[in-house]
Amino acid sequence: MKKIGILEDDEAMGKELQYYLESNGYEARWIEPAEYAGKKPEELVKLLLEENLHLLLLDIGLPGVNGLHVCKEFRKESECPVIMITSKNDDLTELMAINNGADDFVAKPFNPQILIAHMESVLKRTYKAAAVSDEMHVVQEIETGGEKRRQEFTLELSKGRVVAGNSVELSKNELQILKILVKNQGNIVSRDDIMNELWDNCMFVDDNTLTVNMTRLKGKLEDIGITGAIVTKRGMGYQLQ
Amino acid sequence: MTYGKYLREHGIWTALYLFLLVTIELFLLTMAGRGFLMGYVFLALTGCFFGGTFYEYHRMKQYFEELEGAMAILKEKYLFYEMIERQDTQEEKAVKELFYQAEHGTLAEIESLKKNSEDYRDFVETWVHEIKIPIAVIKMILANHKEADFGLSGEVDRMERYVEQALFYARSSAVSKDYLVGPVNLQKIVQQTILSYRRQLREINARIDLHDLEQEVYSDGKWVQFMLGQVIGNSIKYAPEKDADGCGLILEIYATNTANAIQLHVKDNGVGIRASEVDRVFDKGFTGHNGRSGAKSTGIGLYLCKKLCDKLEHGITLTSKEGEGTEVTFVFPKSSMTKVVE
Repeated sequence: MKKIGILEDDEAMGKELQYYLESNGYEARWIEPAEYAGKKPEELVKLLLEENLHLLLLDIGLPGVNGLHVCKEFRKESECPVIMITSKNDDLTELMAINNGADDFVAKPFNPQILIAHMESVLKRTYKAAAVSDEMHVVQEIETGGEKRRQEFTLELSKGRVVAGNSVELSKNELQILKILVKNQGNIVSRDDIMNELWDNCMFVDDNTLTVNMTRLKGKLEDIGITGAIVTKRGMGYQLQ
Repeated sequence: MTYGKYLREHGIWTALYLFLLVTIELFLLTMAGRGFLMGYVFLALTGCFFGGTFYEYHRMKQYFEELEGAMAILKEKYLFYEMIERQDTQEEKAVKELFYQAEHGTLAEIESLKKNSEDYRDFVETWVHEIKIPIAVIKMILANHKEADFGLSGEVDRMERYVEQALFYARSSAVSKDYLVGPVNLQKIVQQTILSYRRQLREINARIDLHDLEQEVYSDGKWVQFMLGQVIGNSIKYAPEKDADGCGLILEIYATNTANAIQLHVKDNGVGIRASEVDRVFDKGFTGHNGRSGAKSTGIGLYLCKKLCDKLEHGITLTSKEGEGTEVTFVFPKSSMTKVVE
């Protein structure tokens, strides 16, 4: 579990953010202003180092100290990535944040999902060792009319294709949809969840496009002999068996 | 300004001339051998009178022509004092002195207005940053308590947009330049803007078609994102009825590359704007037929886009057909932009 430090002066914000990150599978630690009140930036940096963070969310406007300065000092001592958070949403502030060693910049008020997306991409960049594998192998047991059969296929993400003896190329949308279903193999994934995840990845599909993509995806899978892999659950969503 | 009028206005000289002429001629009448003398006096006096007055008239005319010429080429009329060159006579000196005082008064007034407007801009800027903190907290709370949303998320989004509008309104009317021109990736900016309207676009099930956006322009990314947001917000506000597929809006965003500029097109299939109203869409407070009928309009969004574009030296145009849709085009000129960067 990744440990995220939150340096934020607003109490409500700090607490809610900590709670949000915890419910999204992180270990979160909000460092309260009381802990560093009256301390010099150097002492605050020492306090941060002791936390052994994987990532620091840093507000620019802190009481008594300048977030940019803290970032610069912290950067000298640690390789831990920093995301700057500020309500001052202009290019100059962003540039200053980056120049002071921040890895990313998120403007307040942010969409929490988007913050998570930024955090994920920074974490992925920094801790490459844990990079996800490029291939997803799927084994299915499918029951049709009391008869059980086994089928296998491999999803090659970077090549954008599915291999099961023969191979077939998938479009960007189809690939993403299949990836979501594979990740949730066995569970029903609602259309809304699929759409949400596509949007998170800047594929702005509407209802109709999703239906079209789904039909094409099933067709392509059948072309290479993978049949009945995706089941439509009326009114609920889709399921990869 | 004519000589005739000048003589009439300076009637005292004509009166004196006539008085002198008559007095001397009468006096000469009493003398012997007066014919030649009377003729001479007549010519001399008349010559002096017309010569003298015409000289004065001409001088004055020249002086005013100089002043008028100077005023005509001056953009800031209140700086007129600096342009007055001639001050040979005491009248001319006095005129220059008076304009000097007028200019200083005006400059002081302008300075104080500028300062007021900058102060106000600063206040709005600070205020906006302050108000964003509670908005951010509300968004966090709602994200943590999805079950208690009751549509609040949508309302908070709206609040956030109005706050953003206030910020850019203050920026647009500020005298100083508070933008930073740098390379802006259109693809990225468009995606970010679409994401910020995610909730509303998903609600109406919009079909979004982004293509040919791999272009880089020179501008301020945040400003472009704001303007793009205003335009997309309008597309959503004036979206058509849902079609047979349940699609409530077709939004096409793409860029074209010409010799002098990169153009960003935002095209929708919305209700469109009446032909008689298209020319006025960039006017402040203009709401038109659409604004008065269906969705409520403030007439600020496009006005701000135009003003911000002017500041950044970008172009913005709008074409529309009622019932078919609207297309807004941002023009990022190439030459001036690269110059700024170099």
